[in-house]
Amino acid sequence: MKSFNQRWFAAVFLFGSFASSPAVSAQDPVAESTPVDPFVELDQLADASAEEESGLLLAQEQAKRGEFLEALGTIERVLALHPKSDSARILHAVYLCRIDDLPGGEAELGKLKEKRFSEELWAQTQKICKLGTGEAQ
Amino acid sequence: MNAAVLTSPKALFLAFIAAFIAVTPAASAPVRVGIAASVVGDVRLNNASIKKAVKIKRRQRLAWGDTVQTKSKSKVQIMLLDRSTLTLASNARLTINKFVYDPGKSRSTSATVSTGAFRFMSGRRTKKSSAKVNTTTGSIGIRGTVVDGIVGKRAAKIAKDEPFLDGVDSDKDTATLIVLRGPGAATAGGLDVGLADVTAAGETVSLTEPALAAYIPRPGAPPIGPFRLSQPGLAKVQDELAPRVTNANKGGLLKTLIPAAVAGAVLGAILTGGEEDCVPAPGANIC
Repeated sequence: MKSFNQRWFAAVFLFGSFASSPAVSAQDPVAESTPVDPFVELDQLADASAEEESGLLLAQEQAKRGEFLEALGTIERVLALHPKSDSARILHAVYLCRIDDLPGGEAELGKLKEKRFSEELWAQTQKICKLGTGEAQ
Repeated sequence: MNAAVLTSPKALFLAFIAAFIAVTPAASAPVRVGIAASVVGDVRLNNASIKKAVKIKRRQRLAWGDTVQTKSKSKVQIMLLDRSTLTLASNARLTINKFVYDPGKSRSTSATVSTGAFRFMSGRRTKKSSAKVNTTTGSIGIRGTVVDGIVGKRAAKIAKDEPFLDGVDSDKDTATLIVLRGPGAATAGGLDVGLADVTAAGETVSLTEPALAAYIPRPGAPPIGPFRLSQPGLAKVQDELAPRVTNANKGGLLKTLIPAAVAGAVLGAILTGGEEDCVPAPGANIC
Protein backbone atom coordinates (compact mmCIF):
# COMPACT_ATOMS: atom_id res chain seq x y z
CA MET A 1 0.00 0.00 0.00
CA LYS A 2 2.78 2.35 0.95
CA SER A 3 4.71 1.85 -2.27
CA PHE A 4 1.48 2.23 -4.31
CA ASN A 5 0.79 5.57 -2.65
CA GLN A 6 4.29 6.76 -3.27
CA ARG A 7 3.99 5.80 -6.94
CA TRP A 8 0.62 7.53 -7.16
CA PHE A 9 2.04 10.70 -5.62
CA ALA A 10 4.96 10.56 -8.00
CA ALA A 11 2.58 10.16 -10.93
CA VAL A 12 0.56 13.20 -9.84
CA PHE A 13 3.74 15.20 -9.34
CA LEU A 14 5.08 14.20 -12.73
CA PHE A 15 1.76 15.06 -14.34
CA GLY A 16 2.06 18.50 -12.80
CA SER A 17 5.60 18.89 -14.08
CA PHE A 18 4.71 17.98 -17.64
CA ALA A 19 1.56 20.05 -17.68
CA SER A 20 3.33 23.15 -16.49
CA SER A 21 6.35 22.77 -18.76
CA PRO A 22 6.07 25.31 -21.58
CA ALA A 23 8.22 23.33 -23.97
CA VAL A 24 9.91 19.98 -24.28
CA SER A 25 13.57 19.81 -25.15
CA ALA A 26 14.59 18.72 -28.63
CA GLN A 27 16.13 15.55 -27.17
CA ASP A 28 12.90 14.48 -25.59
CA PRO A 29 11.12 11.74 -27.58
CA VAL A 30 7.84 13.55 -26.90
CA ALA A 31 9.17 16.57 -28.75
CA GLU A 32 8.19 15.23 -32.17
CA SER A 33 4.52 15.49 -31.33
CA THR A 34 4.83 18.71 -29.32
CA PRO A 35 3.90 21.88 -31.19
CA VAL A 36 6.37 24.75 -31.18
CA ASP A 37 5.59 27.45 -28.63
CA PRO A 38 3.85 30.10 -30.78
CA PHE A 39 5.53 32.88 -28.84
CA VAL A 40 8.93 31.49 -29.76
CA GLU A 41 7.91 31.67 -33.42
CA LEU A 42 6.86 35.30 -32.97
CA ASP A 43 10.17 36.06 -31.26
CA GLN A 44 12.04 34.51 -34.18
CA LEU A 45 10.14 36.63 -36.69
CA ALA A 46 10.78 39.74 -34.62
CA ASP A 47 14.47 38.96 -34.27
CA ALA A 48 14.91 38.21 -37.96
CA SER A 49 13.59 41.63 -38.92
CA ALA A 50 15.79 43.48 -36.44
CA GLU A 51 18.64 43.35 -38.94
CA GLU A 52 18.15 44.95 -42.34
CA GLU A 53 19.55 42.12 -44.44
CA SER A 54 17.86 39.23 -42.64
CA GLY A 55 14.62 41.21 -42.54
CA LEU A 56 14.66 41.77 -46.28
CA LEU A 57 15.37 38.09 -46.89
CA LEU A 58 12.54 37.06 -44.56
CA ALA A 59 10.12 39.38 -46.36
CA GLN A 60 11.13 37.91 -49.70
CA GLU A 61 10.62 34.37 -48.41
CA GLN A 62 7.16 35.29 -47.17
CA ALA A 63 6.33 36.95 -50.48
CA LYS A 64 7.46 33.84 -52.36
CA ARG A 65 4.86 31.89 -50.41
CA GLY A 66 2.25 34.48 -51.34
CA GLU A 67 2.14 35.83 -47.79
CA PHE A 68 2.21 39.44 -48.88
CA LEU A 69 0.58 40.83 -45.75
CA GLU A 70 3.17 39.12 -43.57
CA ALA A 71 5.89 40.36 -45.93
CA LEU A 72 4.57 43.90 -45.52
CA GLY A 73 4.60 43.44 -41.75
CA THR A 74 8.21 42.33 -41.89
CA ILE A 75 9.20 45.27 -44.08
CA GLU A 76 7.43 47.63 -41.67
CA ARG A 77 9.59 46.31 -38.86
CA VAL A 78 12.74 46.73 -40.95
CA LEU A 79 11.74 50.28 -41.86
CA ALA A 80 11.02 51.11 -38.24
CA LEU A 81 14.57 50.20 -37.26
CA HIS A 82 16.25 51.17 -40.53
CA PRO A 83 14.26 54.13 -41.84
CA LYS A 84 17.05 55.04 -44.25
CA SER A 85 16.89 51.71 -46.03
CA ASP A 86 16.10 52.35 -49.68
CA SER A 87 15.90 48.59 -50.17
CA ALA A 88 13.18 48.19 -47.56
CA ARG A 89 11.33 51.19 -48.94
CA ILE A 90 11.27 49.87 -52.50
CA LEU A 91 10.12 46.43 -51.33
CA HIS A 92 7.41 48.13 -49.26
CA ALA A 93 6.25 49.88 -52.43
CA VAL A 94 6.37 46.66 -54.44
CA TYR A 95 4.40 44.64 -51.88
CA LEU A 96 1.77 47.38 -51.64
CA CYS A 97 1.41 47.15 -55.40
CA ARG A 98 1.24 43.35 -55.20
CA ILE A 99 -1.80 43.60 -52.92
CA ASP A 100 -3.31 45.99 -55.48
CA ASP A 101 -2.67 49.15 -53.48
CA LEU A 102 -1.24 50.88 -56.54
CA PRO A 103 -1.75 54.43 -55.22
CA GLY A 104 0.03 53.46 -52.00
CA GLY A 105 2.87 51.88 -53.94
CA GLU A 106 3.18 54.97 -56.09
CA ALA A 107 3.25 57.24 -53.03
CA GLU A 108 6.03 55.12 -51.54
CA LEU A 109 8.01 55.09 -54.79
CA GLY A 110 7.65 58.85 -54.88
CA LYS A 111 9.89 59.00 -51.81
CA LEU A 112 12.72 57.25 -53.64
CA LYS A 113 15.25 58.56 -56.09
CA GLU A 114 15.51 56.60 -59.30
CA LYS A 115 19.27 57.18 -59.55
CA ARG A 116 19.86 55.10 -56.43
CA PHE A 117 18.73 51.95 -58.21
CA SER A 118 19.80 50.08 -61.29
CA GLU A 119 17.77 50.83 -64.40
CA GLU A 120 16.57 47.25 -64.56
CA LEU A 121 15.36 47.20 -60.96
CA TRP A 122 13.61 50.53 -61.32
CA ALA A 123 11.94 49.50 -64.59
CA GLN A 124 10.74 46.24 -63.03
CA THR A 125 9.28 48.13 -60.08
CA GLN A 126 7.51 50.59 -62.33
CA LYS A 127 6.03 47.68 -64.26
CA ILE A 128 4.78 45.92 -61.12
CA CYS A 129 3.19 49.16 -59.93
CA LYS A 130 1.79 49.82 -63.40
CA LEU A 131 3.23 53.30 -63.40
CA GLY A 132 3.17 55.16 -66.68
CA THR A 133 0.10 53.19 -67.73
CA GLY A 134 -2.39 55.35 -65.89
CA GLU A 135 -3.63 52.39 -63.83
CA ALA A 136 -2.10 53.55 -60.57
CA GLN A 137 -4.42 56.54 -60.30
CA MET B 1 9.62 13.73 4.05
CA ASN B 2 7.78 11.27 6.25
CA ALA B 3 6.48 8.62 3.84
CA ALA B 4 3.90 7.51 6.34
CA VAL B 5 2.11 10.82 5.92
CA LEU B 6 1.38 9.95 2.32
CA THR B 7 -0.48 6.82 3.27
CA SER B 8 -3.40 8.70 4.80
CA PRO B 9 -6.25 9.50 2.37
CA LYS B 10 -6.39 13.07 3.60
CA ALA B 11 -2.69 13.62 2.94
CA LEU B 12 -3.01 12.07 -0.51
CA PHE B 13 -5.98 14.30 -1.29
CA LEU B 14 -4.01 17.37 -0.20
CA ALA B 15 -1.04 16.28 -2.29
CA PHE B 16 -3.31 15.96 -5.33
CA ILE B 17 -4.83 19.38 -4.72
CA ALA B 18 -1.36 20.89 -4.31
CA ALA B 19 -0.21 19.35 -7.58
CA PHE B 20 -3.38 20.51 -9.33
CA ILE B 21 -2.92 24.06 -8.09
CA ALA B 22 0.68 23.95 -9.28
CA VAL B 23 -0.38 23.28 -12.87
CA THR B 24 -3.50 25.46 -13.03
CA PRO B 25 -2.93 29.09 -13.96
CA ALA B 26 -4.42 31.60 -11.59
CA ALA B 27 -7.83 32.90 -12.58
CA SER B 28 -6.36 36.37 -12.98
CA ALA B 29 -3.41 35.25 -15.10
CA PRO B 30 -3.08 37.50 -18.14
CA VAL B 31 -4.33 36.10 -21.45
CA ARG B 32 -1.25 36.53 -23.58
CA VAL B 33 -2.06 37.26 -27.20
CA GLY B 34 1.10 38.50 -28.87
CA ILE B 35 4.38 40.33 -28.59
CA ALA B 36 5.95 43.68 -29.29
CA ALA B 37 7.68 42.64 -32.50
CA SER B 38 9.43 45.93 -33.06
CA VAL B 39 10.07 48.74 -30.60
CA VAL B 40 11.66 52.05 -31.51
CA GLY B 41 12.17 54.84 -28.99
CA ASP B 42 10.07 55.23 -25.87
CA VAL B 43 7.17 52.76 -25.85
CA ARG B 44 5.29 52.11 -22.61
CA LEU B 45 2.79 49.60 -21.29
CA ASN B 46 0.26 49.68 -18.52
CA ASN B 47 -2.68 47.53 -17.47
CA ALA B 48 -4.83 46.68 -14.47
CA SER B 49 -1.77 45.44 -12.56
CA ILE B 50 0.82 47.89 -13.86
CA LYS B 51 -0.66 51.27 -13.03
CA LYS B 52 2.40 53.34 -13.85
CA ALA B 53 3.38 52.71 -17.45
CA VAL B 54 6.71 50.94 -17.91
CA LYS B 55 9.06 51.01 -20.87
CA ILE B 56 9.01 47.90 -23.01
CA LYS B 57 11.44 46.20 -25.35
CA ARG B 58 11.14 43.92 -28.35
CA ARG B 59 9.71 40.48 -27.41
CA GLN B 60 7.55 41.97 -24.63
CA ARG B 61 4.56 39.66 -24.14
CA LEU B 62 1.22 41.41 -24.52
CA ALA B 63 -2.13 40.41 -23.08
CA TRP B 64 -5.78 41.34 -22.92
CA GLY B 65 -6.22 44.69 -21.21
CA ASP B 66 -2.73 45.96 -21.99
CA THR B 67 -2.46 49.57 -23.11
CA VAL B 68 0.55 50.42 -25.26
CA GLN B 69 1.60 54.02 -25.68
CA THR B 70 4.26 55.52 -27.92
CA LYS B 71 6.04 58.76 -27.16
CA SER B 72 7.48 61.26 -29.60
CA LYS B 73 9.72 59.76 -32.35
CA SER B 74 8.73 56.27 -31.19
CA LYS B 75 6.99 53.37 -32.82
CA VAL B 76 5.84 49.86 -32.03
CA GLN B 77 4.55 46.92 -34.02
CA ILE B 78 2.39 44.44 -32.12
CA MET B 79 2.26 40.95 -33.61
CA LEU B 80 -0.61 38.73 -32.51
CA LEU B 81 -0.58 34.95 -32.42
CA ASP B 82 -2.34 34.71 -35.79
CA ARG B 83 0.37 36.99 -37.27
CA SER B 84 -1.96 39.96 -37.50
CA THR B 85 -0.03 43.14 -36.85
CA LEU B 86 -0.99 46.43 -35.28
CA THR B 87 1.52 49.19 -35.87
CA LEU B 88 1.43 52.35 -33.80
CA ALA B 89 3.18 55.53 -34.93
CA SER B 90 4.54 58.14 -32.52
CA ASN B 91 2.32 59.74 -29.85
CA ALA B 92 -0.31 57.01 -30.15
CA ARG B 93 -2.18 54.88 -27.66
CA LEU B 94 -3.84 51.50 -28.13
CA THR B 95 -5.57 49.05 -25.81
CA ILE B 96 -5.95 45.35 -26.61
CA ASN B 97 -9.52 44.63 -25.57
CA LYS B 98 -9.74 41.03 -26.68
CA PHE B 99 -8.15 38.47 -28.98
CA VAL B 100 -9.35 34.90 -29.40
CA TYR B 101 -7.63 32.61 -31.90
CA ASP B 102 -8.35 29.03 -32.88
CA PRO B 103 -5.79 28.30 -35.65
CA GLY B 104 -7.42 27.58 -39.01
CA LYS B 105 -10.91 27.96 -37.58
CA SER B 106 -11.64 31.36 -36.13
CA ARG B 107 -10.24 34.52 -34.68
CA SER B 108 -11.70 37.59 -33.10
CA THR B 109 -9.76 40.77 -32.47
CA SER B 110 -10.83 43.91 -30.67
CA ALA B 111 -8.67 46.93 -29.91
CA THR B 112 -9.17 50.59 -29.11
CA VAL B 113 -7.02 53.39 -30.49
CA SER B 114 -7.58 56.59 -28.56
CA THR B 115 -5.03 58.73 -30.36
CA GLY B 116 -2.40 58.61 -33.08
CA ALA B 117 -1.78 56.75 -36.33
CA PHE B 118 -2.07 52.99 -36.71
CA ARG B 119 -2.04 50.24 -39.29
CA PHE B 120 -3.86 46.95 -38.88
CA MET B 121 -2.94 44.00 -41.08
CA SER B 122 -4.87 40.76 -40.96
CA GLY B 123 -2.95 37.61 -40.20
CA ARG B 124 -3.34 34.00 -41.22
CA ARG B 125 -6.51 32.98 -42.99
CA THR B 126 -9.22 31.42 -40.84
CA LYS B 127 -12.71 30.18 -41.70
CA LYS B 128 -14.34 32.74 -39.42
CA SER B 129 -12.67 36.03 -38.75
CA SER B 130 -13.66 39.30 -37.18
CA ALA B 131 -11.62 42.31 -36.22
CA LYS B 132 -12.76 45.57 -34.78
CA VAL B 133 -10.82 48.71 -33.98
CA ASN B 134 -12.65 51.26 -31.87
CA THR B 135 -11.79 54.93 -31.74
CA THR B 136 -13.24 57.72 -29.64
CA THR B 137 -15.67 58.64 -32.39
CA GLY B 138 -16.55 55.34 -34.04
CA SER B 139 -15.48 51.83 -34.94
CA ILE B 140 -13.90 50.01 -37.87
CA GLY B 141 -14.96 46.49 -38.73
CA ILE B 142 -12.17 44.84 -40.68
CA ARG B 143 -12.10 41.77 -42.90
CA GLY B 144 -8.91 40.32 -44.36
CA THR B 145 -7.26 43.60 -44.97
CA VAL B 146 -4.71 46.29 -44.47
CA VAL B 147 -6.24 49.43 -43.04
CA ASP B 148 -4.57 52.65 -41.92
CA GLY B 149 -6.10 55.07 -39.46
CA ILE B 150 -5.28 58.32 -37.74
CA VAL B 151 -7.05 59.66 -34.67
CA GLY B 152 -6.53 63.25 -33.58
CA LYS B 153 -4.98 66.44 -34.91
CA ARG B 154 -3.00 64.78 -37.72
CA ALA B 155 -6.23 63.38 -39.12
CA ALA B 156 -7.82 66.83 -38.96
CA LYS B 157 -4.78 68.35 -40.68
CA ILE B 158 -4.84 65.85 -43.56
CA ALA B 159 -8.61 66.27 -43.90
CA LYS B 160 -8.22 70.04 -44.17
CA ASP B 161 -6.21 69.60 -47.37
CA GLU B 162 -8.57 67.04 -48.93
CA PRO B 163 -10.79 68.59 -51.62
CA PHE B 164 -13.59 66.11 -50.80
CA LEU B 165 -13.69 67.30 -47.17
CA ASP B 166 -13.63 71.01 -47.94
CA GLY B 167 -15.39 73.03 -45.23
CA VAL B 168 -15.90 70.14 -42.80
CA ASP B 169 -15.76 71.17 -39.14
CA SER B 170 -13.32 68.86 -37.32
CA ASP B 171 -12.51 68.24 -33.68
CA LYS B 172 -8.72 68.08 -33.59
CA ASP B 173 -8.62 65.71 -30.63
CA THR B 174 -10.97 63.04 -31.92
CA ALA B 175 -11.20 63.39 -35.71
CA THR B 176 -10.66 59.98 -37.30
CA LEU B 177 -9.44 59.21 -40.81
CA ILE B 178 -9.58 55.62 -42.06
CA VAL B 179 -8.06 54.39 -45.34
CA LEU B 180 -8.34 50.94 -46.85
CA ARG B 181 -5.01 49.86 -48.33
CA GLY B 182 -5.80 46.44 -49.73
CA PRO B 183 -5.81 43.73 -50.81
CA GLY B 184 -7.71 44.88 -53.87
CA ALA B 185 -9.45 42.77 -56.47
CA ALA B 186 -6.23 42.38 -58.48
CA THR B 187 -4.13 41.22 -55.54
CA ALA B 188 -1.41 38.63 -55.96
CA GLY B 189 -1.14 35.59 -53.77
CA GLY B 190 -4.85 34.73 -53.79
CA LEU B 191 -5.47 36.89 -50.72
CA ASP B 192 -8.98 37.74 -49.60
CA VAL B 193 -10.09 41.10 -50.92
CA GLY B 194 -10.14 43.58 -48.08
CA LEU B 195 -13.14 45.36 -46.66
CA ALA B 196 -13.56 47.89 -43.87
CA ASP B 197 -16.83 49.16 -42.42
CA VAL B 198 -16.52 52.49 -40.67
CA THR B 199 -19.40 53.13 -38.27
CA ALA B 200 -20.29 56.23 -36.25
CA ALA B 201 -23.53 57.81 -35.05
CA GLY B 202 -25.46 54.79 -36.30
CA GLU B 203 -24.27 55.09 -39.89
CA THR B 204 -21.81 52.87 -41.74
CA VAL B 205 -19.54 53.62 -44.68
CA SER B 206 -18.02 50.62 -46.46
CA LEU B 207 -14.53 50.84 -47.90
CA THR B 208 -14.19 48.28 -50.68
CA GLU B 209 -11.18 49.39 -52.72
CA PRO B 210 -7.63 50.43 -51.92
CA ALA B 211 -7.26 54.17 -51.22
CA LEU B 212 -10.94 54.59 -50.38
CA ALA B 213 -11.30 56.52 -47.14
CA ALA B 214 -13.86 57.56 -44.55
CA TYR B 215 -13.64 60.49 -42.17
CA ILE B 216 -15.37 60.98 -38.83
CA PRO B 217 -14.87 64.69 -38.11
CA ARG B 218 -16.08 64.85 -34.51
CA PRO B 219 -17.96 62.92 -31.83
CA GLY B 220 -21.58 62.31 -32.73
CA ALA B 221 -21.01 62.89 -36.43
CA PRO B 222 -21.57 60.12 -38.99
CA PRO B 223 -18.66 59.07 -41.20
CA ILE B 224 -18.12 61.03 -44.42
CA GLY B 225 -17.34 58.94 -47.48
CA PRO B 226 -16.33 56.78 -49.07
CA PHE B 227 -13.99 59.04 -51.00
CA ARG B 228 -10.71 58.43 -52.75
CA LEU B 229 -7.90 59.88 -50.66
CA SER B 230 -5.65 62.12 -52.74
CA GLN B 231 -2.10 61.05 -53.53
CA PRO B 232 -0.61 63.75 -51.24
CA GLY B 233 -3.04 62.67 -48.51
CA LEU B 234 -2.01 59.06 -48.90
CA ALA B 235 1.67 60.04 -48.74
CA LYS B 236 0.99 61.94 -45.50
CA VAL B 237 -0.74 58.93 -43.96
CA GLN B 238 2.25 56.77 -44.89
CA ASP B 239 4.62 59.37 -43.54
CA GLU B 240 2.90 59.06 -40.19
CA LEU B 241 3.49 55.31 -40.12
CA ALA B 242 6.86 55.10 -41.89
CA PRO B 243 8.42 58.55 -41.90
CA ARG B 244 10.37 59.55 -44.94
CA VAL B 245 14.08 59.98 -44.28
CA THR B 246 15.82 62.41 -46.56
CA ASN B 247 19.34 61.02 -46.13
CA ALA B 248 18.60 57.51 -47.34
CA ASN B 249 21.27 54.85 -47.66
CA LYS B 250 22.80 55.11 -51.08
CA GLY B 251 22.12 52.00 -53.06
CA GLY B 252 20.92 50.06 -50.09
CA LEU B 253 21.09 46.35 -49.62
CA LEU B 254 19.29 45.52 -52.80
CA LYS B 255 22.51 46.40 -54.62
CA THR B 256 24.18 43.70 -52.58
CA LEU B 257 21.29 41.30 -52.72
CA ILE B 258 20.73 41.96 -56.40
CA PRO B 259 24.08 42.59 -58.07
CA ALA B 260 23.98 44.26 -61.46
CA ALA B 261 24.85 40.99 -63.15
CA VAL B 262 21.79 39.19 -61.79
CA ALA B 263 19.48 38.05 -64.54
CA GLY B 264 16.15 39.73 -64.98
CA ALA B 265 14.24 36.57 -64.17
CA VAL B 266 15.84 36.34 -60.74
CA LEU B 267 15.31 40.03 -60.22
CA GLY B 268 11.64 39.65 -61.01
CA ALA B 269 11.22 36.81 -58.55
CA ILE B 270 13.02 38.68 -55.78
CA LEU B 271 10.97 41.79 -56.23
CA THR B 272 7.64 40.17 -56.64
CA GLY B 273 7.98 37.10 -54.50
CA GLY B 274 5.41 34.74 -55.95
CA GLU B 275 5.90 33.32 -59.38
CA GLU B 276 2.41 31.97 -59.77
CA ASP B 277 1.23 34.83 -61.89
CA CYS B 278 4.47 35.87 -63.52
CA VAL B 279 4.64 35.94 -67.29
CA PRO B 280 7.92 34.77 -68.82
CA ALA B 281 9.34 37.46 -71.03
CA PRO B 282 12.68 37.83 -72.84
CA GLY B 283 15.23 38.36 -70.11
CA ALA B 284 12.69 38.79 -67.35
CA ASN B 285 9.59 37.52 -65.66
CA ILE B 286 7.00 40.24 -65.63
CA CYS B 287 4.78 39.83 -62.58
